[in-house]
Amino acid sequence: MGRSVRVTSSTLRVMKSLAASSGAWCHGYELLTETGLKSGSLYPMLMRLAERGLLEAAWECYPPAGRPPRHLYRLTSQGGQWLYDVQSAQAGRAGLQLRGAQ
Amino acid sequence: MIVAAALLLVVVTVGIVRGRSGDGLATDVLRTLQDLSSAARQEWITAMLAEYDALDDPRTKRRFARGCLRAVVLRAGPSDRTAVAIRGVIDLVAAGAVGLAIFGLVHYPGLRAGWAWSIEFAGFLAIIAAYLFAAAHLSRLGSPAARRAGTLAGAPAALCGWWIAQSNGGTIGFAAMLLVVLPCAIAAMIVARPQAQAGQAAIAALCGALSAGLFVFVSYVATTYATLGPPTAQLLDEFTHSGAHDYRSWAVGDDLGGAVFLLLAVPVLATAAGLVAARLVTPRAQTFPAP
Repeated sequence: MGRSVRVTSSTLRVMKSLAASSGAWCHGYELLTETGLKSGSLYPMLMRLAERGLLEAAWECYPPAGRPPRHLYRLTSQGGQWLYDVQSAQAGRAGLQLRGAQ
Repeated sequence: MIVAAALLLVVVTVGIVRGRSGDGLATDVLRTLQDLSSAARQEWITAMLAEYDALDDPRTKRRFARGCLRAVVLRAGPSDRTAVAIRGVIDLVAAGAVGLAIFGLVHYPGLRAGWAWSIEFAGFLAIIAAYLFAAAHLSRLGSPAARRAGTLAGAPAALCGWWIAQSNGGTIGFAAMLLVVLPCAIAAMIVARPQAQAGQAAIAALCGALSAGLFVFVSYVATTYATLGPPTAQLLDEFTHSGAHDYRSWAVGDDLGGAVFLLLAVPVLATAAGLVAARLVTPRAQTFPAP
């Protein structure tokens, strides 16, 4: 994976949204509406995640007539693993806190 | 901030020169930045613009374009060896400029009379910060050759700074100031010529403008400290009427004001000269009427 990715709530929202599409390609505006992020926050994050190999990007093959092809995104296997690791770690921490409270 | 504003003004101007699309200012600036960016960044800006085109609601489109523009302007692109070298040169010369200003304040106590100097010094630091911000972004835009040519073209401004300080702002000084911008214009022309690359020429002009502004400042101020400028009859007369008591502090203060003016004026002039020169050698795109 190379460089590490900081775990923020926004990053997790984007990664979960991509994971929920179960391998299907998503376009930028779809991610914006699903995560509630603004374009100024989403695109730098997509760039970072793509640079670190957590998601892959491709151009739409058959855009509607009169419109340029859109950029599409989906999780890579590395991205899926990263999300799984982060969620497992978070669940482990939550379990420890719960046991501590009891 | 003024340099950043000038940079934005230039980008907008380039956009206007390219022709307004009717999609709003943010989108026009994005399209211009797309031309100026490196291949990796171009792909992302293209993605943003394609997404913009797919949206229907005008309000959503405007908000989307503004967010994208903010993302592109605030996030520097990937670095390369030329970017590191340019940042090194600009940071070094900027540090020299701040060092010279601090030396002046320490060495000439008359400069610290009253409270206005602290505001002026804060303004000067803000200008330097704007230079560094612009350099951080410009050093990663466009082709390495364009950035290199522009930054090198700004270096002869050091000679002009010395000449301006020697001439005490006379006609020769103004001629020297015009000569500061000439290498930037030539660099932009050279970059624009082979493949009609107006965007790359703009990058060369902007890099030249930043480098020229800092080099001329450092050279002008260093020469002033070394020589205090030849005290002409006119200067002595102005000093007598100024009510100041210390000629050296007064002369240095006057020259520092001139140097800050150069720091602001040179980038604007050099950029304008570079863009005009590039425009002159770039053939206009042929247009064909729709059938």
